[in-house]
Amino acid sequence: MDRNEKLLVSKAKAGDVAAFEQLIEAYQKKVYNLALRMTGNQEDAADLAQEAFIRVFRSISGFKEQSSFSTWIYRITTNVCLDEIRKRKNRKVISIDEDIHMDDGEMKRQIVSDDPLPDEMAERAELRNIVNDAINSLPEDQKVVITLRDLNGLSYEEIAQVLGIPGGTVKSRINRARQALRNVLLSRTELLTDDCVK
Amino acid sequence: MVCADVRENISAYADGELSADERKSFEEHISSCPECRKELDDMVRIIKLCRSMPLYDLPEGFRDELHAKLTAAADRNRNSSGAEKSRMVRTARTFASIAAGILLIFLGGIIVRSGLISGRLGAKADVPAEMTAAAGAAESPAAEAADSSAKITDAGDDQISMRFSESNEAMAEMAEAEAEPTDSGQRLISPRHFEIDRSSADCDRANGLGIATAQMTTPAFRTSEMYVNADDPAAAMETVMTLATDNNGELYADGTALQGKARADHPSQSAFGGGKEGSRAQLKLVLTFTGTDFDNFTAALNDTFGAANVQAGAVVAEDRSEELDMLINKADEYERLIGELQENDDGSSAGEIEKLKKEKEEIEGRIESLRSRSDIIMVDVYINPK
Repeated sequence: MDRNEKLLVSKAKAGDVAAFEQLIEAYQKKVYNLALRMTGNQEDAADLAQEAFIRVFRSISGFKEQSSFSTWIYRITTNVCLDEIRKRKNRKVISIDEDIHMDDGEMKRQIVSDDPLPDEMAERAELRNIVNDAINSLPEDQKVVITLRDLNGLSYEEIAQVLGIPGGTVKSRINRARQALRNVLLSRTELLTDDCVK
Repeated sequence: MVCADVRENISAYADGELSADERKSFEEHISSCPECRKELDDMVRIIKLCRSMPLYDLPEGFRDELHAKLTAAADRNRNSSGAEKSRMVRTARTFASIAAGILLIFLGGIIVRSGLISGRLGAKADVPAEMTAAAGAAESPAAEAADSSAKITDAGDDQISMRFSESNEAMAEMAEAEAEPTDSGQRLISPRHFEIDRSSADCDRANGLGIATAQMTTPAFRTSEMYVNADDPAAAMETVMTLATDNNGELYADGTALQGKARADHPSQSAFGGGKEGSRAQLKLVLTFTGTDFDNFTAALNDTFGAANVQAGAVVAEDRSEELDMLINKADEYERLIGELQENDDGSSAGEIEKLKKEKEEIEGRIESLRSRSDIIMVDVYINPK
């Protein structure tokens, strides 16, 4: 943790909401996106991300600052999400089919059909849909490691801390997840050509 | 490296997570194996695809909603400390003195009934009320066993069941008092383990009024110990803390992590090598839970660290009345000190007063948890380096 973050943590420990908000500013979007990946549902993701931040706020006085703040925040987020996922395990999860606001404007999310892919499939937006679906099709434990690694940019060691699993498990889980993605995406071989990957 | 090993390591290689040695032999293999080379190329593309996925924007109103929730949480937190605590302490103290009074009256009756010399009663008036029942029971077999064991057993049975609701095993031990008076006397002086659940029934049997007094004057915590083995205790401690938070557990007010208790005797420490010794120390957390939350927490620990790395001790009920007395005295002392300082304050003691108030609040918090939360389980979690 840098000095500024340390200062904000100590203020937040004293119940300073403004300091806490400053502290989590950099994580809000990432935490929301992690929750979105894990739940596949915008409303749930917003609720769970907020729940995670509330929990972080409530327990920050017990935060011993031995792990990084980010690791701790992701840890709580994944727990909150996994709890929710467990709770609704028997309920069918309906994937999102609505407008999503993205960094580079707005796009319509589409359900990918089994029809042959049109030529323009290589377009970036469509490509994202496919990758998204592929990631969503992964088992929970693989989805979370891939997200923490590629979306949140955590190292293997950090992921091990977040999930409380050994580093070796992280390594093999990430590898398995990517093999699975590869197998899914291989059926759309055009995706794996160089021009599709920027 | 053979192909299978290489493919196991492809992701880690692409992520830059292999050690120098592993990387070297990985690259050696890749340069001479076209199949693995192809796998690596595919993997790199997959990784790039995943990384190119954009982050979605926060939904509208997310920040405002969160702000409202945080403010509400902060307010709740403020309200539950401060004023409310001191009110609870006052209430607790009132109860304690009433209960102590009633207990003394009972005790008097019992001692007289059990035929102990009345002179003893006078001597006992000096003993703190919370301790009297135990001391009374303890003294009688030790002093009188030789010639009046029948009476003593009678007296001890009554007193203890009223005051401490001993378990059956403890009762059985007391029956042995005739044979080993001194030994059983020792046991009675420190009745460490007893069952809270039995208190109502036992009190009922002893005396109708006993129910209320015994429950109010016997703050009991159930305690347990857990041992977690982890590669990195510091990281594991954060994990444990998070699991505790997830299950509504709380860090006990007094439960500071005992860091730096270096485990030089631990074989893995030297093996682990330099630079990270700090994280190889044994760590300790003191957490509190309610019953079901504790079960969930234990399950979560097992899930997270693996059952082989988690060892849970039995849950035992423990008498905390002495600690409570000590804390109440301490809070009184702080109150007196603060009052004195405030009276003579010339403006220079503001910081000191603030500090004392904070400490007093912490003590009151502990009194509160002892008093009002005897449904709680307090668990010492020791985190040991593997």
